[in-house]
Amino acid sequence: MIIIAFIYACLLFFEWRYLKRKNRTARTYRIVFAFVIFTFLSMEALYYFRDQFTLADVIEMVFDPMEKFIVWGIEKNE
Amino acid sequence: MDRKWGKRSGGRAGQHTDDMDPIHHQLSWLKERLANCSDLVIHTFESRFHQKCALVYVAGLTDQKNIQEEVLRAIFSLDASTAEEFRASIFERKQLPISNYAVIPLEAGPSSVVEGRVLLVIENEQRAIRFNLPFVKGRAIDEPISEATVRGPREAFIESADDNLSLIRKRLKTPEFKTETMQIGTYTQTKVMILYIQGLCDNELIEMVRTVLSQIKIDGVLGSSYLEEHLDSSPFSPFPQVQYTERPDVVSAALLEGRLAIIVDGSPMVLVVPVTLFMLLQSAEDYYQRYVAGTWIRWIRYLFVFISLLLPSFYIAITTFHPEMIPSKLLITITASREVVPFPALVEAFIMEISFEALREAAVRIPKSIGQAVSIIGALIIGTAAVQAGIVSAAMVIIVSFTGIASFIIPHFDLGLAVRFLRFPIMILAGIFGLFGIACGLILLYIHLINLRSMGIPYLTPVTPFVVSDLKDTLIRAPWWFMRKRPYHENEKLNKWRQPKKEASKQGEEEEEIRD
Amino acid sequence: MNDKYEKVTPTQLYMLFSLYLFTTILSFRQGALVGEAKFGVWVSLLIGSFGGLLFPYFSYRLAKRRPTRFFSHYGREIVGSWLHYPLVSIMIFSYLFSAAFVLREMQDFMVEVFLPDTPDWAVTSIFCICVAYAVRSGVQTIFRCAQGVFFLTMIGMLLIPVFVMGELNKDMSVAFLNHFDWKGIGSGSYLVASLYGQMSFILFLFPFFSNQQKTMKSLIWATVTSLFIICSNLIPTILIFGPELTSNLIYPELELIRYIRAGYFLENLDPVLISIWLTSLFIKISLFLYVAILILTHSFSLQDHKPLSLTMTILMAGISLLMVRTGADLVRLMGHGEVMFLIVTEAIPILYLVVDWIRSRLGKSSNEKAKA
Repeated sequence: MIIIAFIYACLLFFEWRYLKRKNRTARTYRIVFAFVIFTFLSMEALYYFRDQFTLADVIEMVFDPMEKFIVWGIEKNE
Repeated sequence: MDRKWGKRSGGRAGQHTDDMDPIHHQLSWLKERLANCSDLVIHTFESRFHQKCALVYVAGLTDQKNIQEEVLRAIFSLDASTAEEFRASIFERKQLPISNYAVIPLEAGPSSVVEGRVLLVIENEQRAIRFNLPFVKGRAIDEPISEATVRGPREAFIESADDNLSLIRKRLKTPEFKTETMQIGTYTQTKVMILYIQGLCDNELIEMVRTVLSQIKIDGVLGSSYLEEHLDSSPFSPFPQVQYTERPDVVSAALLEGRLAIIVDGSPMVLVVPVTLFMLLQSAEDYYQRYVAGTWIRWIRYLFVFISLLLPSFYIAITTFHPEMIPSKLLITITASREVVPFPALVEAFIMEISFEALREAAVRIPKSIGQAVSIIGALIIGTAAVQAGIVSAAMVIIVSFTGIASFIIPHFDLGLAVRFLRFPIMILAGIFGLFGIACGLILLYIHLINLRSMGIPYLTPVTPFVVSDLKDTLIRAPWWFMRKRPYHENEKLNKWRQPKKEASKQGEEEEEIRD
Repeated sequence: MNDKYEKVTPTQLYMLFSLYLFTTILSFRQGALVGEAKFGVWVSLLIGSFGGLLFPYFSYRLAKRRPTRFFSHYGREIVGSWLHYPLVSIMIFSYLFSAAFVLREMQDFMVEVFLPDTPDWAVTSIFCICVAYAVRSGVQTIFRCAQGVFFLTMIGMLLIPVFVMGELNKDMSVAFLNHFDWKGIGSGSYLVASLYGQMSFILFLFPFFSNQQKTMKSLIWATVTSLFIICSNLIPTILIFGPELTSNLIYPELELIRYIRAGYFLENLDPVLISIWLTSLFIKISLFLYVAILILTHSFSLQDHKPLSLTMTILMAGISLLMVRTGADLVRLMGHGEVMFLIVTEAIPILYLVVDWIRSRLGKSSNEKAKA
């Protein structure tokens, strides 16, 4: 978890320097930083909860019933 | 006061320092500007009309014989009846029998003198005459040192910009061949010439180069490499984005392709822009041989570029991560030779490569008399001894020497340096990740080359962006009757055809039939 | 010379998509595909590919209506912000997930076959550095990457079946014409259609194309080329191993290459495989990631995609490492829901097209009424 934080800190610094060099507006800074923080939190969450659930479980939960419905539908027609 | 001036200037004999001298005013100004220049000569004399005159020049940059025979004789034999007519015939009517002399304000005098021109100052005249009689000792035109050919011409550029220009001018006898001159360098005032063929070269490119060069503010330009870094679009890239050559035929061919050349006074290397990776891998000899030979050698060259970059990395990757790839007999031999070596393959390779680089760098400075002996010592004795001592394995010595030889195949020295340098990061990647690491390293290199541009032209043209018609000079060396179009240019208005189209030959055939 | 306006030519489009389309199918999906369709796999490829082409076709129709504008800018005009932003979020996540998915498959392959002691995160990190560089450089770089390696890759992939000619069991070839398991072929087509339909993201790249009229032509030719390459490798695989074994092998292509005996010089030609696959996979991952970043950038109304590119790359790397616990889970995901997820994402532009068509119709009829 600390490694992730370290990587994100480097990333933030790097992007800040890039934005400064290109003289971007304050709005751009805000959006970029907000997005970096958001992804950082999601990454930490994913990592912390990796034993309880994974993204694959979410997708399966949402889309598997849909798939079964269609496939079941095709099977029924045959 | 004059004696003080006299002592400080320390000129040659013939200097008058009379306080009441009418020319004193101009000369003292010149002496002040050019104080402490011990090679300055001020030769004062009186004309036939008792006007005080002086010739000012720098002894080392001018031909004294020429001055005697041309300038002094011309001045004394000028046909004039009064002092006023004398002055007018020199300054207004330009009747001195010497070619190419200019009337300049006295303020421009000092810079003209240090450039090697001769200044004629006449009393009470705020203008001066500037004669172009340079005679700078330099090398004679000689054979090229780094780009020798068997069949092509053997002339190479020298340090004098004017002589270099004449070498190109005698090959391109067309009024479309244009040259623009500028001076760069606050202290050196180096003459820089931009050469191009109008109608073939893109105006945007000419404008870009002109802008870049005119914006250079630097103390001195001592060689073409000083300008090269300003012309680079990506100075941090190891790959050269400007080509340099010492052969006039290469420059002429480049100009005919629609490229632009830059001559820098004092440097025997002429810069050529824009350049692609494949142009840097071509050698002049390719075009003077038959196309089959040219194509074959070109392929060998491409193969050896890869070998030079990747051979040690492959060895490290395969012996460390993928030994199953090697045929069993060879595997046993390699393992046996690596048995006694205490280091892993990566460290071994690094030791050998760095020693080789050190040898190569040292070889540049070894005096020629012992150079041969040292290289034999280095190669045979040290190499063999190292293997026998168990520091490195025999296979590694072979790999490193082969790589070294391969790197000399690259015609352009800077590109060879780039490849040599890039070998090391790829070796590190190979040592950590095996073949996957090499692949990743190559992908990174590939993306870098795709992004790289030379004066706006992508570096990997014509492979990407894909220009089919130019591949015939990249992959192979197509015969001359095949290369009818010039390399691809965005600008549609430029003359695309190197050779006339087929209709002309049909007409010729018809005429022959009629004659029969 | 004008960087900002340097466009993607139809040739580049064709070359990139030819590589893009065959790479995952040949690398990682052969087992699943042959497991479903058995000998009828060529039929399911044909049906699936041309069926899947419908998705990019509808995207193309939608994009043609506003050829110079980017989708994320005009999307909310069509369906309204409340619907547009969730749909865009789904699309961004889907492309990010697809990139992470392919990355995970590649990483599993590398670690399992070539680098047994290397930790996963190291392999992913080094690869993501390459991807980050490419994505940060822009779409033109990715297309030119594909252009440069196209010929070498094609030659490489076509040489493989040539070398294994001697090992084929030719008697089995009759089964291709008389063994048809239509249910299996249907499932196979469904899988293939989802993969070919991913080309629908041309909707987001449309303003970058120099010759927009020829887009579909390039895509169709890319489909044909990729089908040719896939079949030329898949059919020998089945003829050597048989459908049962092929469906149980995780990496049939690898096994096929190991059958090549290239004389006494090298025992096996794995590096050939690595270099071909790695570059094509790299291009595929970069393109997915780039599209996700592009949509995100335009949704935020930013001009430059570079600031967000590194963040998304790290996110993709994280997702690929954390998305499933083991490789077996990955295979399970493929069969349970992943395909549906892809198809839903590909169908979203169709929704936009339909709504836009209805709105323009209504707009026209209300104009006519107003005139009358």
